Order: sequence, then C-alpha cells, then structure tokens
Amino acid sequence: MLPTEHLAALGRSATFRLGLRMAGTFCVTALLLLAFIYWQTAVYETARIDAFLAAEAVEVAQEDPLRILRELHRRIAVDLHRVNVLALFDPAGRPVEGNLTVFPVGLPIDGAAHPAEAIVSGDPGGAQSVRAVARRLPGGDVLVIGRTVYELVQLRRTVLRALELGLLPVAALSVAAATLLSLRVQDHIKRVNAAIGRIMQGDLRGRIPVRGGGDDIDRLTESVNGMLDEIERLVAELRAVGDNIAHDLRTPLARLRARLERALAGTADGVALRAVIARAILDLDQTQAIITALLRIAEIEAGQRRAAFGPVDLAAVCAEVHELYAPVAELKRQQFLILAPAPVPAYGDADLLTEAVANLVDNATKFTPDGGSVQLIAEHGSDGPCIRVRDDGPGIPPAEREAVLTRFHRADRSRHVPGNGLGLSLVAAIARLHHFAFHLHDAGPGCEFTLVCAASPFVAAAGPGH
Amino acid sequence: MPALILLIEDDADLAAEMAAHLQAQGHAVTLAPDGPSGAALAADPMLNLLIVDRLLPGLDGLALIERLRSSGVRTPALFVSALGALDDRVRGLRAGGDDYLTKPVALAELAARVDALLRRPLETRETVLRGGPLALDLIDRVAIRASRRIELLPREFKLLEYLMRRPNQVVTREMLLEDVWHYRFVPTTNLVDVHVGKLRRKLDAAGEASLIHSVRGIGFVFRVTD
Repeated sequence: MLPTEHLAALGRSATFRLGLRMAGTFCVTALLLLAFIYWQTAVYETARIDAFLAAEAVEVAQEDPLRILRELHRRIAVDLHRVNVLALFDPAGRPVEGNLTVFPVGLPIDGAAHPAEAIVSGDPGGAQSVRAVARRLPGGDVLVIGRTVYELVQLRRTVLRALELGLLPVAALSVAAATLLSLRVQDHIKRVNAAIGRIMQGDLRGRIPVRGGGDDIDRLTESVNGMLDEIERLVAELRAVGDNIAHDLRTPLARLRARLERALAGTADGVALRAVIARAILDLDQTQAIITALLRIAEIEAGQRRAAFGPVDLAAVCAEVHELYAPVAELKRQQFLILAPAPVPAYGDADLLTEAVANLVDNATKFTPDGGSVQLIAEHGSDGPCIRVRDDGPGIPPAEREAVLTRFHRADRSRHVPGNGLGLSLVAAIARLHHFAFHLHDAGPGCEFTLVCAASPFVAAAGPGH
Repeated sequence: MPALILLIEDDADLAAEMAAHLQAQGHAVTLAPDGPSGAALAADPMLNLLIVDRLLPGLDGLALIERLRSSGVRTPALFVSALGALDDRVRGLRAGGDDYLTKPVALAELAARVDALLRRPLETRETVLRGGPLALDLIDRVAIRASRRIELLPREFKLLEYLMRRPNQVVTREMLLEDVWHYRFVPTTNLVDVHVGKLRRKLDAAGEASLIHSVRGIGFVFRVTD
C-alpha cells in the first residue's frame, strides 16, 4: 500500500476515529475550562481595578488644586513600574501636570472607570490599554487616573502558555495512541477478514483467529466461530441427506427401470403389460415414501420444530397410539396391552411423540409373529418419565442393535416385511430434537425400545415459566 | 358434478395429464402456464375451482392466492406443490388455500380432492344421518341398521360420520388420516384399511350388502346400492 492509502485506511478505522474523538473532546473541555478561568479572573480583576480607580479619583479630587499637583507628582515619582496613569488637563484639554500629553480619546468625563488607550510620556511602547477614570474638578480642570491592565495581559499569557505546554502534547499523544491502537486492531481485522473470505469461498472448516486476551472482540469472535460450527454441522447433515437420497433411491429406481425395460423388450400381451405398469406405479409410490420419510427426518433434525413444545401426558400419547394400532394387532391375533394407568407428565411436541410411539408400535406389530404380544407402557422410570414398547418377537441380535437406529438399516431376517427402514431413524431424530434418550434392550425374548422423556437442561430452559 | 376448473401449472406435460384426467371426470379445465396469466384468469366468477402450483414463473402461487383472497375472490383453491414440509402446507392453507397436495400426486387422489372441494359435506339439522338401511344417531353416537343397535368406538363413529356425510364420494386414505385422525404423518402399515375393515364388519351382518366400498388403489366410498 502507498503511504496515502495507509492514511486513508487509518482515517476510515473506527478505533482511530474513536481515539481522535476522545482527544478532541478532552482538548475542547480543557480549552473551555481555561477560558472560563481566564474570563472569571479578568472580570474580577477589572472590577477590582475599576473600584480602586474610582475611589482614588474621588480621594484626589477632594484636595485643593495645589495639593493635587503635588500628589500627582509624588505618585508618578514612586511609580517605578510605570503602571499608573496620572494627569491633570485644563478646561481646554491641554495637559497641566502628569504623565499624559494627550487626553485619552473617547474617555467619558463621568468619574467612572472605562477602558481607554493612553500614550504615557516617557514610555517607548506607544499607546497601551488601560482602565481610566476622568473626573472634572470644581475649577473646571479634568483629573485622569488610570492603570495599565498588565495583570490581565499576564494572565492571558499564562493561559496560552498552559495550552501550549499541556494541550498540544496531549493532543499529539492521543493521535499517536489512536494510530497505534487502530493499527493493531486493523491488523487483527485484516486477519479476520481474510479468514471470513476463505470461509465464504467454501472452506466451511475455517475459523476466525482468536487473539487470546479474552477481550470483547475475542468473545465476539468465539460466538461467530460457534455459529460457524453450527452452520458446518447443518451443511454436513444436509449433505448426508442428499447422499442418502441419491444412494437409496437408486436401488428401487433401478428395479423399476429393469422391470419396464424387460416388459418393453418382451412379448407380453396387454393384460401382462398392465400388470407391469401397476407394479411400476407401486414401485414409484415406494420411492416417493422414501423421499417423504427422508425429508421428514431432515425437517425434524433441522431442529426448527420446537414451536409446538408444551406439556404432554405420555399416558395419553400411548392411549392414542393404542387405539390406532389395536385393530392391526387384532388382525394378527396379537395381544396388544397398554399399561398406562396414571398420567405421566413430560414436556415436548405431542404430535411428534405420537408419531415416534406409532412408529415403534408399527415396528413391534410388524415383527412380532401372529399370536405374539406387544406391550405399550407409560411410567415414571428411574431416569424420569418414559415410554416403553416391548414385544416378544424375534428380537434384535446385540451386534445389530446399534445399526438399527441408523438410516435404512433392515435386519436380514426382516426382508420379507414391507417398510423402508426409516421408522427407527425417525424415532431417533424425534428423540434427539427433544434431547430424550432412546434405548434398545433385549427383552428375552423379543426387544424393548425405551424413550426416556426426562427434562433436559435445554427443555427446562425452553419450558414455561422461563 | 361437472365444474369449471382453472389449472395453473408451469410443467406443460404434467398440466396436460392432470387436465385430461379431470376432463375424463366431466370437468372443463382451463390451463395457465405461469403466475401472471393465471392471476389474470383466476378472478373469473364463473370458475368453480383453482388448482395452483406453488412455484410458478412470474408470480408465486402463494402470492397469487393471497392477492385473490384480499381482492375478495373466494373460489376454492387447491395447492399442488413439490414443497411438502409441514411448514409449506401450513403456509399454503394460511395464504387462503383450501387444500394442499404434495407432488407427485396420484391422479385419483387429485380427482378425489377436487370432488371434495366442489361438494360440501352434508349438513343436517336433524340428529340422525341416514344412508340407505343405515342410520347414525349423532346424539347417542350409535349406528342402527335393520333395527340392530351397533355400538361404535369414538374413532369408529367419527370415521362413519365422515363417510356418511360424503355419500357417493370417493374418500382417500390420506383424507381420512388428515381429517379423522388429524395425523400429519403417513404410517407404513395399511392402518386406514384395517380400521375401515373393522368398521365394515361391525356394520354388515351376514348376508347384508356392504355400504362402505373399497375403491382399488385410492380409498373408500359410502354408497347405497339397491
């Protein structure tokens, strides 16, 4: 960068501007303070001089003319610093005695003190500012008594000097400090900007550097980094959903394509072709069901569905699912029991929990053979309120228990049962959204799924009364 | 019940198939390929129904219906969209849509929904719904057939009431799940069939004609055959 660009960048820096503004504020305050002190002192000093002069004039004027002349003479003689103006003019304005040769221009002859310009004889400095009183004596002469205002001049000089010695260095220091500070901040911001640039170009794993001082900028940076973590996680999830869709739709689509291709190449008659078409539509419906289920899981996992959270009675949820599946179990001559005698309060989305329990029961009725039994339980467990779905079906081998909760897993022995293998991952997604634990145990025989609906810190924070 | 339908859909092939299916049901269908042309036609008071895609060129389907509703046009509107999340559905109904279907839509489902929007369910001041030999007592919540009193579970009663208020009208499984069970998810098991089957067995004694008929691949219809 050229030096002028550096300067321009400095001028745009917020820290630099803040530093300058603070220095400016300080200087203006100091200036006002000094000006006030000067003004107050000057007013006081002038009033004091004026009163003194007026009193002197009265005192001198009381003397007889001869004594006045002598008094003037004496006073001039002792005025070594030449601060006094003392003179007597005749009625025509000619000087009679004293250190003035010309009557001060414009000085009113009224016995009160006024500012005036006077040329003191014997003083090489020419006309100087004085406070002076002109008073007419009984004989018609005019007595002028005045005093230079050198104290005020001195005071002004002191104030200006204070400004020079105090204010200028402070201002210069402030500018220097602001420059230094803003250069440091600019340097950091440049690094942050570079990091953000890399992230915007697609490097979602990049993070903004933290300086480590724990200051406000660091805290802000940490929040932004936290946000980036979350964005990265969501993008990864989206990508995973995309991969799943791509992977798991290809199989049914391939099947469908092969069927249609064979029908086209073969010599099947109208009736057989209609059967192929009907089968193809069923295949399409199945792929559509997979897409719907995947999108539903993604929708739940996106974590935006907490608006409907509220108090839920798990026993009521179980009763509803029992009512829904009782005829299904009846058809398979399964014994379908519900054990939920008392309300079991929890906090969550009633519709989603119903969906989760329905999926578990759907699974249980499907995999339990005809004549078996399925139990639906809502109770206060040792970990908190929970829902259990227990069956005496074939169970799930220990090696497969982890895998059944992942997407599309279907135990080998379940290939003959219709389904898309997404039911349990949907339940797992609903459990994650609620921060509920979701376990699978051996029920020997059969298996037991447990949804522990204990209030997590998150749920407590989002719950009513907070 | 033939109706005049405006179909606003930008995919020409899909629009043609949908229109042909609806025309085969006796409806007259006008096509509009984009938002602005659809909006221009939709205010026609002669129209009985609008079928609107959500993502349309020129003007979003949601905005189109919102605009129509705010200008006082109350023609029933059916959204047909590729956006199928619950939020999308809710947004569609809030914008003034009367029903919402997610693509791909079975043509039979489309026809059933169109039918449902064109006909109003039976409203009666009487406390008994009648359909042929069957009477449904809305106060006592029991069905009576050939002087037999048939006790019904609460959900069975709702299911039967829903069907009887729509005589001779095809009702799909999804409509039943949405309107009778208020579920927003589709179970993998053929739950609706099981429930309807159980209800049918309760209503039909040996030798009696069935009143609830299955419509293959679509759903059910309450029909009294003599």
